[in-house]
Amino acid sequence: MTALTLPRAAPRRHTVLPGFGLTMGFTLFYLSMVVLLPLVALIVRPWELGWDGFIKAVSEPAVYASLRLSFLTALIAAAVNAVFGLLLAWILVRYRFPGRRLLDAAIDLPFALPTAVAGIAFATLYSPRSGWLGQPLKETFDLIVAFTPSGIVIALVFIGLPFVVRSVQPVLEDLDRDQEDAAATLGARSWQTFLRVIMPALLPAWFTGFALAFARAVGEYGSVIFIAGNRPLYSEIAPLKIIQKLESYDYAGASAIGVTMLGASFLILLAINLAQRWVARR
Amino acid sequence: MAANLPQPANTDADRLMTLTIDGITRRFGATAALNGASLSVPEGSFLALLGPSGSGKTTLLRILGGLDAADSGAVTFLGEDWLSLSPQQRRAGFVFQNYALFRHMTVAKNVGFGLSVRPWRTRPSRAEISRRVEELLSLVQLEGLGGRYPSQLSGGQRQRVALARALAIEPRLLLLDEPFGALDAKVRKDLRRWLRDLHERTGVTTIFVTHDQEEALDLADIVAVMNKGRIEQAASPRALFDHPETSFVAEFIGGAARFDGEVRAGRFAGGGLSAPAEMVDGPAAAFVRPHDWEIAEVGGLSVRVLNVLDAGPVVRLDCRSEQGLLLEVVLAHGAAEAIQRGQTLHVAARTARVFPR
Repeated sequence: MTALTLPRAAPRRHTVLPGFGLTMGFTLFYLSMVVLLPLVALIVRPWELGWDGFIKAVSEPAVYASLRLSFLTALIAAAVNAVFGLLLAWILVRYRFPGRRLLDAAIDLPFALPTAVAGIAFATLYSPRSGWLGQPLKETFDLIVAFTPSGIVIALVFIGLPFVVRSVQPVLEDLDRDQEDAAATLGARSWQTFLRVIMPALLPAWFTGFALAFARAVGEYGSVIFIAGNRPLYSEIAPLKIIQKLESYDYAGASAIGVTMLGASFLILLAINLAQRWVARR
Repeated sequence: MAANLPQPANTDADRLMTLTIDGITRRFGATAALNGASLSVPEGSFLALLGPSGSGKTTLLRILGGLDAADSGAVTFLGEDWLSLSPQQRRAGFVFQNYALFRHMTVAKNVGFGLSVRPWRTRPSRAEISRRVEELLSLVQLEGLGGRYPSQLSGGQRQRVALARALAIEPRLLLLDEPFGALDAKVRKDLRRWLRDLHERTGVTTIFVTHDQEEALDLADIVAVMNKGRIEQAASPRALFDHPETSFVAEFIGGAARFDGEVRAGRFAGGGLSAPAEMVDGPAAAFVRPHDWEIAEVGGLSVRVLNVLDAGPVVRLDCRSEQGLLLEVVLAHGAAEAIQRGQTLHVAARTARVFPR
């Protein structure tokens, strides 16, 4: 084992924050208290069940189905947001139209709105019996959105949208328009300019937006439970399963689900990060 | 307008193709960037668009490159209605002021971009593209740097990458926007000479924008002086210098001092200056270049010497006339001995160019 050595600050180099040791120490302490300690507590808790107990808690059919549902709907919602968020950011940056600022401000609403309010609004809107959207959908296409997994996706799309837009927008604003002009004079068609000049510059930010939207969606609770219908094995999300366990005082079982979600999210985010680095290196 | 153009010596005048710019206008909101710019130069020319900032020269260049559209007017080049062609169809190499290199691509990919985006029928093979890229890199003296990224190059090197990238498409017209603006003096001089050589070898019609008249006069066959969205005069550097056709050109080229006054009976008088003028009576302006002053034996303009710059083969004097006009006087060493700051001097104009106001 090699000893872990921290990089030393270069001597006598002027920096704005004094004392590398002090600031590094504070950073580690702060990170420990705010992020690491609760996570450690979460990870330690389920081991009172033992390995077998842990596996059993997680592979219980209703729990397994809820985990699968949570990750699948989060991935679908993040993918939808990636496409339409990019489009929205493009329109906000590249076009000037009346109401642009208003639209720009509206993007952040999902950040600000209490998620339960959004959830109730969605459930009402998409209700197949009386919803403004749900009733016509049911009558013309025989489509039911509320109280099904599609409803969950819609709620997750709503809360994840700002992450993609706000990640991509500043990069798009800073993009050098001359590069697009240069591509045009060199004979590139618009789609070639988009794919070969604009997208490579946007890709890292776009991946970040996708990752943030996904991470937010996996753990989302408030807006989902109202529209999900919460039928076991069908439309019950993992965070709800955790709440149920807590309500029946099964703390170890609840944290077993939590740890599983944490691990899976970590792996997915790691993969996105690696992909992002691979893209940036090219 | 196209008077005094040099005739290319080895070109048959009959098959001479010209670039004709006819009455181009372009408005941005209430301001007119171009206001009826017209110009005609032979194919293969090395043309400079020279003018103060805001004179519309970059707008004209962008319109020729297809990056901006004219509100009215026409351009004919190589027998085609140039403005009806898309930027892709024009094959005009454009070198941007900030070079606009693709940051995420290597130098080689940047240079090869124009070849690799061609429709697949006419696209060269990968091997052929990389061979052409190598060729171009050696033409711009950047052999072996194909694997670098633009951020790893100096300003002069980036400039040459931008040139190589524009040359890769075998341009029919080469357009350069302030090509030397961001470079230091030494690199600028070298690149200028290099660009001149390149033009002689390739013979591509080349147009560059500059606000530096020394650069324009040094480099171009034809200099088009622009002012307020119009082309005031387009001529060879010599002709422009010796025979300015408008008062703007007379004042702009060579840093002339301007005297406002009146012409009466074949003589201009104003601002303390008196000079012969072959024009009808009326309000007029006279222009005198720094080199066109001499010490007056009798009479002349009385000026106060503000500063003496004695360096090189000439002596430069910053002066102010009694009427408050600032002017520069350049004298040969022999004529300017013992001139002190603060002294009063009497100078007379050897040549004054007079234009109606």
